[in-house]
Amino acid sequence: MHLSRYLLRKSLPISSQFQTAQQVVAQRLFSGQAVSPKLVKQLRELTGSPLKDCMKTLDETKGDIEQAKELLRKRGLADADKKVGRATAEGYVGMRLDRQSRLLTMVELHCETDFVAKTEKFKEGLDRVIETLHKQGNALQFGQTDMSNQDRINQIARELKLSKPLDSDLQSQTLEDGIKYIISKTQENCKLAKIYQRTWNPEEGQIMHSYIHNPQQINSMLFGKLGTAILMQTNDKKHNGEIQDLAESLALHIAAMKPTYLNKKEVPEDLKKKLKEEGPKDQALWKMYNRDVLMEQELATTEESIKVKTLMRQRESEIFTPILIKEWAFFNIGA
Amino acid sequence: MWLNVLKSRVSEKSSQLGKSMLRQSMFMGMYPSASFAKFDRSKPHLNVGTIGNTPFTLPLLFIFNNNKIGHIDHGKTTLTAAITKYLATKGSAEFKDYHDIDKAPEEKARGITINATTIEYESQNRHYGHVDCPGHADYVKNMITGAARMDGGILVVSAADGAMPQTREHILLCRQVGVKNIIVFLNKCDVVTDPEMHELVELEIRELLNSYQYNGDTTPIIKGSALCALNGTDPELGEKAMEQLIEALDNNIDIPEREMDKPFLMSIDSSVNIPGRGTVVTGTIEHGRCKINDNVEMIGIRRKPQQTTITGIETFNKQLDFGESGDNVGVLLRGVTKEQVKRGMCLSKPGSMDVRRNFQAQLYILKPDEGGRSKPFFTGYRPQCFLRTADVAVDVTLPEGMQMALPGDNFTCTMKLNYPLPLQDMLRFALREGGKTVAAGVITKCLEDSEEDLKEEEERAAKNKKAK
Repeated sequence: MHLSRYLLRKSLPISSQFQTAQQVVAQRLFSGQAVSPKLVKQLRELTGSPLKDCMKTLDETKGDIEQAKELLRKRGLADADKKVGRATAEGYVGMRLDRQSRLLTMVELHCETDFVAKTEKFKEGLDRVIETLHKQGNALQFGQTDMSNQDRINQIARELKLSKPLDSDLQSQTLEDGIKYIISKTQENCKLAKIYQRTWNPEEGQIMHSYIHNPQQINSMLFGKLGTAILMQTNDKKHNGEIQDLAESLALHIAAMKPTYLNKKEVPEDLKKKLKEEGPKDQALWKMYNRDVLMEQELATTEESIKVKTLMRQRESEIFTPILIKEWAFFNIGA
Repeated sequence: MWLNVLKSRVSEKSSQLGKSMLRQSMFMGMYPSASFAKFDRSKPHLNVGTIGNTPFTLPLLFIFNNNKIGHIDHGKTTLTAAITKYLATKGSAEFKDYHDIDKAPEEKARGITINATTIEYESQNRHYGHVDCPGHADYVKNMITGAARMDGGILVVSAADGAMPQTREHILLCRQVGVKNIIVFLNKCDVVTDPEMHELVELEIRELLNSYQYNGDTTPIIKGSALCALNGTDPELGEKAMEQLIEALDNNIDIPEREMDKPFLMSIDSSVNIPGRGTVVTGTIEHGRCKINDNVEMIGIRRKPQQTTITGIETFNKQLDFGESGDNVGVLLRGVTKEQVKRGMCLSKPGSMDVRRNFQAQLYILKPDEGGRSKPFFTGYRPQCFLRTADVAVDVTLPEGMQMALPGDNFTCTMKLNYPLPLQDMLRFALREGGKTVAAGVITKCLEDSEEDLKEEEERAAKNKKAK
């Protein structure tokens, strides 16, 4: 952006005859005569916006701080639109697990560099997004199949109001505006990439466990670079205690081994076919199973060599009832 | 003579893990293409780096003295390109435009993936290396594995934007990886020309630097425009600013203490009994120098040091009067039997180092495709630690709140060696288990050993005596 402005200035004829409106504005903006540094500093402390934007708006409002703030906000949002679409590969996974109301909310919020992810503004934004979604209770129900459904995520972002606006000067902000606000503050594109939200019912023998790798905490939200959740079910609630630790170690396992499919059945037929043709005998297919299929993977939480499905069978035979993995979610930044 | 026997062994074993890591990394990326020109050693070499931000904002660039590291993103790349362009006109660098710099290949140095392009340039009295890292985690990883060392940094802040929230994180990174000197380059002074505004940004940065224990008041701040320098337009903000920047690098970034000026330390590779003369120990002198008749201590593995005197030094069948850092030598010791010497012990200047078992370290866990294991590990994990020539079991305790360590992670943790060794900050080591290198690490802090540790060692020693 700066570059284009710079080039624009350069390419315009210097002669005053041909001065365009833009050039007049540019000269006024960058001459800096009209604005006192004191005011600029004050506005920067208030808004944290880039210096030249502060100068520009103050110049236009002739030094009126309140008006300049308002103008900056609008500009920031307009600028944010330009940044949408830039590649985002960093960020954080945020998670809130409420055992009382049996509600899990997990969100993946992206930005461009991990420096920005570490800023307070970004973390605060993530917390607010989670809080907002969490307050919806079981109204949303973002299951495993919906997790990265971008259309649905965008729709919700447009409709939902933040529980408390990120911009303290505003009465209310939608989720989308909140994210734009973060963009305007960090000058990087931010994106709500994934949402997983689930309620579960222990009365029916359901168990939910989730794990954030190497977590940090803000309020009641845990966040990190990697998060997993697993929803398990038996046919009776009396087994809940017994499968709790199984759920815990599987949540860790998923984080470590990054499976793509739950079991062999879930692997698409054409992929199976392709791998069968590829490898000598079924080796390529077999390798893929061991690498990407949760049930076939070696359990990561122990040094012993034991498959996940073997562990499940063992537990099943101990409690004489089938154990089901109903759903699982794997959120990973940078993958 | 006695060294002749050991010659082959020395050369074999001196390619010991940690050392070879460092050596390789020194050369890594220095000569990107096939140009194997002769390296001129007459100037001290320094490393420099850039740290990335979003395209076209160019807020930060790190330049490191004696080695350079960093990431060049669209914006930051402009400055790097500008420096090379300026110096190319003086004939002391090869001009790289930002397409050359930006296509940083993923280098695989000893199996660890490193995202860094190294560019070299020279000032009048120094040689600089300049590397670019894409993000915080990437840089820390390079620091741990020894691929990157920062002797100083250039912080690039855009005059149009001022200090941004992430500027804080950039300075924090410098702190974390131990950068001692920072220089600030205030870029884009052609966009915002008002000197009062420059002062405003300056003030902000100085405040910020002060809040992270850098001396913000004396930090040089160079005002200029990388774009002007690159396009050859405004010479005041372009060329002149580059000149000032290089000058500031030369004057403000300290050359790190030479290994030779530190107290003597040599890690023992092996030992041989020469009948009629005594015991010879071999190894590479890590730092300092030694000469015949020096009193030295043999430390490590045992809690108490053993005093002895050097009665002869040889290298590859030749007598030496003294040995200095980097030399492969055999040292004849007075009054020491072969049984008393164990691989992993160190010879040192008396009193210069004490032995420890506990330390804090930053670890990078290797991914499976880097030769590491695919499974995570947990507190209580006990791999072998390869530290200098020593090879010792170590207990790893993960930081609080961290349930497991995954391949690709980097974090600070506390570790406890099975027996005491001389430790020092910034010492690199590797963790290995079952034929795989699990992690690379660097010591960040030596911790005091507790009473229980000492007690445990005594009991173990007593047990061993009994067994004999």
